[in-house]
Amino acid sequence: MTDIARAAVTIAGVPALLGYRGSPELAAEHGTVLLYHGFGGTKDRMKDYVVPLAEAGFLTVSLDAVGHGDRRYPDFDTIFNDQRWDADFDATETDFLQLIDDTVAEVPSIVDDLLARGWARADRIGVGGRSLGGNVAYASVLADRRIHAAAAVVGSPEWTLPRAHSPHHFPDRFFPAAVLSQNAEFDEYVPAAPVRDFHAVLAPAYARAPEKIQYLEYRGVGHFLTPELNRASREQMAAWFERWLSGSWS
Amino acid sequence: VAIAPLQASQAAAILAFELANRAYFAASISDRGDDFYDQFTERLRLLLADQEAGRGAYYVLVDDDGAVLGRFNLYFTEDGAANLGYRVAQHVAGQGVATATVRELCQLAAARHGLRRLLAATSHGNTASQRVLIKAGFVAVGPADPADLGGKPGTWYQRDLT
Repeated sequence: MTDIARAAVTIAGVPALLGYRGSPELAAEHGTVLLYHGFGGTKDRMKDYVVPLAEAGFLTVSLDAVGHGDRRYPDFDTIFNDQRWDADFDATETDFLQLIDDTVAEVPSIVDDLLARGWARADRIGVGGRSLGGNVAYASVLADRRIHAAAAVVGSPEWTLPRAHSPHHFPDRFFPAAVLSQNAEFDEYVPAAPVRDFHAVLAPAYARAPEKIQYLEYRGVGHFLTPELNRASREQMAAWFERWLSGSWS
Repeated sequence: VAIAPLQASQAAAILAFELANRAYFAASISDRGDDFYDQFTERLRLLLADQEAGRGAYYVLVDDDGAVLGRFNLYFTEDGAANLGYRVAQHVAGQGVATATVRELCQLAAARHGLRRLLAATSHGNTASQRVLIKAGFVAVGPADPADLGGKPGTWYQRDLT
């Protein structure tokens, strides 16, 4: 693990943390994985995800979501707090969904910048994320055709308020991207059922390659899983990208 | 609020829209330059001639009073495709107007103009436009030539209409 290099950079104006072995250019030949943290987190919180991916040979790019980390909204705690969520759920949740949409909107610029620097190959780019970052991973597939694989941990493709652009409305637009979903049976923040249902409606579009979608549900646990299951979810994510980005499958 | 094909009778309203929002537009897309405004009548005549000749389809979003809220242009390219360009007035920005109109225009493009694919380029700094395109079902397909975006780096987006 000690030979994993890390570097703080800015990509397309977004604060990011690289993780890789050797050089970013060499790692990008294996594949590049964008990583998004959960709500209230930062790019630095994804270091546990970086290790198995970088050890597998990937270039990892952990990014601060809009309003988070190095660009945290000065009034973040005023916008997002339990009292406001209780008093005006729709307004607060709308702001929350805006964070996701704004973060997703940056993905094409980030991909362009990575390609221009030689830090990505257009056919080997994936997005992984946890919770809010998992939502970003789903939406990124629809936002950028160069995203070939997505892996979400306790995230959802279904936005929490009715939104015409919610990714779950477009199961036919995900193929051929490889989509891994890992959810918790008793998740109190991101219910597993809609994700389970989403995989069911994805299936017809993946009839030619059913192995490119996978849904894993961790029984008996909530949103934060357990240390063992968190480790397992990271290993599943690394294996997913190894299978669908590194070229070993072709 | 309604979207309607560009007409000569809208000249004054369109010019008012362009002048009122010139600085706002210039912040995210390249400024049209003084000549555009000085020769607006002639430019509009050429645009209408283009539309008449079938080289494009140009739409204007107007409110109930006839004021122009936005312009949405389809420039036909080849093989059932068109490039989409649009601009929306500052005072209605961020209200979903552009997203809703682009969605409507996608339907019009297929039903009225027989188009099968739309493309749009936006600069990396224009996050509002990036959001609009993604919400309207466009997907990024690759980097855009800065020459197409007033010298700014950007991305091409595409939406298949079939």
